Amino acid sequence: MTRLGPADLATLDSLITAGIVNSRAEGVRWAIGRLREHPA
Amino acid sequence: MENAVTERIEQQVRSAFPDGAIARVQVLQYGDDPEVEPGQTAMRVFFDWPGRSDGNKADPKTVHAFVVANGAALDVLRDELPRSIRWVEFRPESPAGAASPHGLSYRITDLGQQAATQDDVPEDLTPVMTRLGPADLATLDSLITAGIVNSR
Repeated sequence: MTRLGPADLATLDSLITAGIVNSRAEGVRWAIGRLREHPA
Repeated sequence: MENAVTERIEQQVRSAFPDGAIARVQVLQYGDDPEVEPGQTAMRVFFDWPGRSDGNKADPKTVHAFVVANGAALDVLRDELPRSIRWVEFRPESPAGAASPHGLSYRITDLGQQAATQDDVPEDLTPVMTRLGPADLATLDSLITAGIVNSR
């Protein structure tokens, strides 16, 4: 479990409202996947 | 973690309970269990319980009875085990030594420190729980080993 601040929550929730993910948990996994595909 | 240290901690765990209560102890390092993060150590403790020798199956009441009967010992371990131990999980030992059903366990965390009070948790942080697969865990662990973050 992680604790997220308002900005991070808003980011995840924007993914939900955009229809990209169905939940905050899925949003975290989605973000990690993007990080893996595009490492800095 | 050196063998001597892990043996001392294992002995500390066993000595907190009545003789024979603990069947076996596993000291887990990174790579031993997906839930252990890089640089962490955790413990999985298998306890004996009434009915095990008769071949009975453990159920949630088995874990509850262990926690109720050993509440004082669990509190002592939570206070006295080194903070380097991330968590200690207690599971009923199975009749044949096989793994007990997933979720049939009791875990203590935040070792070596007082339980967080309501004032310690920033109000503007919201808990989010997610389950990650091996690839996502590896991605996060690479951030830890690179020194970018301290935990998953």
